[in-house]
Amino acid sequence: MNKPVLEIQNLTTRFESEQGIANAMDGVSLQIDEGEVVGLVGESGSGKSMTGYSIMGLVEHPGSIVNGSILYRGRNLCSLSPEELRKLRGDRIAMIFQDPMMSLNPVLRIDTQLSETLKAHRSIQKYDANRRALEILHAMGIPSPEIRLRQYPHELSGGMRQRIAIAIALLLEPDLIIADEPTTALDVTIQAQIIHEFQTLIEVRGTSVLWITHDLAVASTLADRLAIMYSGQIMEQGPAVEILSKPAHPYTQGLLRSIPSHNERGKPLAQIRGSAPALTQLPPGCPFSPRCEQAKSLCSSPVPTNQIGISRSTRCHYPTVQTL
Amino acid sequence: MNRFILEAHKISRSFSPHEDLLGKVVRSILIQPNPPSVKALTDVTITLKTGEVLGVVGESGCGKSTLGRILAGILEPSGGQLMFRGKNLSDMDPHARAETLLKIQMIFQDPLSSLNPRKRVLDLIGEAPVVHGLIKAHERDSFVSEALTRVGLDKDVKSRFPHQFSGGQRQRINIARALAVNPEILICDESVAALDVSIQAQILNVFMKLKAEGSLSFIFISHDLGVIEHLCDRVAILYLGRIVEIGPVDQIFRDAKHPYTQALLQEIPRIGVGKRRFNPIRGEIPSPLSPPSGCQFHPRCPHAKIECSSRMPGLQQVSHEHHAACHLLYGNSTHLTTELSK
Repeated sequence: MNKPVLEIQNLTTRFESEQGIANAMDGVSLQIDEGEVVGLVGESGSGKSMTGYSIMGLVEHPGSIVNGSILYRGRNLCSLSPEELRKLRGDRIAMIFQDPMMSLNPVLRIDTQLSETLKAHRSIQKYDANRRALEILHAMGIPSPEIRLRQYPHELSGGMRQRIAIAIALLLEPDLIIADEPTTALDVTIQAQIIHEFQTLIEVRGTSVLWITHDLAVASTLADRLAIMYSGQIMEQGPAVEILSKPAHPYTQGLLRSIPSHNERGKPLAQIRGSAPALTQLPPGCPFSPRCEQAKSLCSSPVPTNQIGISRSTRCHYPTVQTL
Repeated sequence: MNRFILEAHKISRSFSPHEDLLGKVVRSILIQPNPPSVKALTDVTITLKTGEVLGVVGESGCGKSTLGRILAGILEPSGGQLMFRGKNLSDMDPHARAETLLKIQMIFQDPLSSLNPRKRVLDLIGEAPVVHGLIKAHERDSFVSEALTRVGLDKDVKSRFPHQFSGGQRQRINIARALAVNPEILICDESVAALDVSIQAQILNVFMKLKAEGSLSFIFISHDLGVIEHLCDRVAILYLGRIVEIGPVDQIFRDAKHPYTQALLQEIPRIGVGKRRFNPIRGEIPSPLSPPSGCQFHPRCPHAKIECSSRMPGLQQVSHEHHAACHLLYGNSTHLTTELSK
């Protein structure tokens, strides 16, 4: 165990536009071990989705990776040719999106889409491909999979489409799955079903997962480790249990305190003042400092990533572990 | 004075597909049945007390937004009565009705699409009270300043357009606009769902401040049970257009009686439990075009019995103010509690 499947080192993904230069990711370092589920949590514009796109090589003009490396089992994904990357993508590293229609073709039947994925990466007989397709739909808890295989995406409900999209991602038994808010658009009961089946499947196969979400509660039920992102930087990362009970970064502390269940019923919620700055107009130093209650003068100078304990780090000049 | 500010009695609403003249003629010639209609709401009875926050919870397609729109007078119910301070809205003349509906304001989910992009904040907030004669035109400037301060915005933003604000600020403008006509009821339809977590808390605090001021009553529609628990006094749980359980928030969150409510509460991801496995209820929400017979939840219910598929359960009183619609409640209710405590 404990061998890293993916190592992101000091990655910076930059967008240049008329409004200026925006670092969607700014010096992000993140490691995902074998069989590990890492929850990447952040608000809109924090760069959490861009992390997923960068790993998959899906950053498009005007964006580009300007610094750092992404190592998949020691191979740098940033220096692979498009053809090499295509072979890896979908086979060893798969992605699930919030909207399942991003990965489903509306004019192809489900069985075609599943067997196309298989044929693109393996030499496989049609009969075997169909059998594998049936198996994976069954494993995803899809009722009457034989009928579903012959249907088109528009004939399925949102939850069912997302199950199919997850089934396609799992089809080639990848080492790493990047899940970008896959349950956000779904109802609570459907979300619970899909997380349940997803958890079962990745546990059996030992798949590593980067689960990208804005929802700390969802991340906490799934993840072994958490990384909290804000304005393109990882503010804090470490074991999920520790971060949720003893956050060290003022942003994490603020986020956790503002959750209704952490407040006395009917009393005003603890809130973080202000709102996230535009990426083109970040303050110098710590991007959270204008909203931080504990900000001092040092906070406008560049912040190093501080190790606290063996497996935890935080990007704050004054990290203080607070028990919630 | 009436204890209830708003009463909805057996509200129903169905939607049928639009049919043009040709379609109608063809249908009558071929003697086809009426096109199927979707029952978005069936016999929903709720009351809102003065100063109370009533939560409405449900998954997509349960009719919670339809209910909000009917209560705000935006949508006509197909059946049932709506009463404001004991007076039936359908008995009022158009003028009185319009005046009454001004007292019920709505705040929507998307803070941007509910603001006219070509109007400045001054007009967005200040126009309605001038039109309705609540203030004089020359008072508008100071009125808007006051309204902005009330929701925690700087009064200097009056000349700006909606696109110049962040999501949280836009929602504050929406609240200020709703408050500008001096309403007595605010209907909030997923008003914090589109906002980031840190902004959500800010907007919820605005609502709680307004509640504490005491002059407003709220209908708070949400799918987020954590928010409902924090904010609401009572909560109604909707499933396929019917209320399956209604009661005080503390009772429902402590001791939910309907298996659907219990499933919802169990399946909410919560912080503090750590990594865990879900034990989800099976199946999907049935199509409202062909709802199941009997209790509409029975195909997904882990406790369903034979009678559940044949007879629709009515709302039964569990305790004071707490009602639930489930067959397992009467007769052998012990069976239910023991089985559910597992």
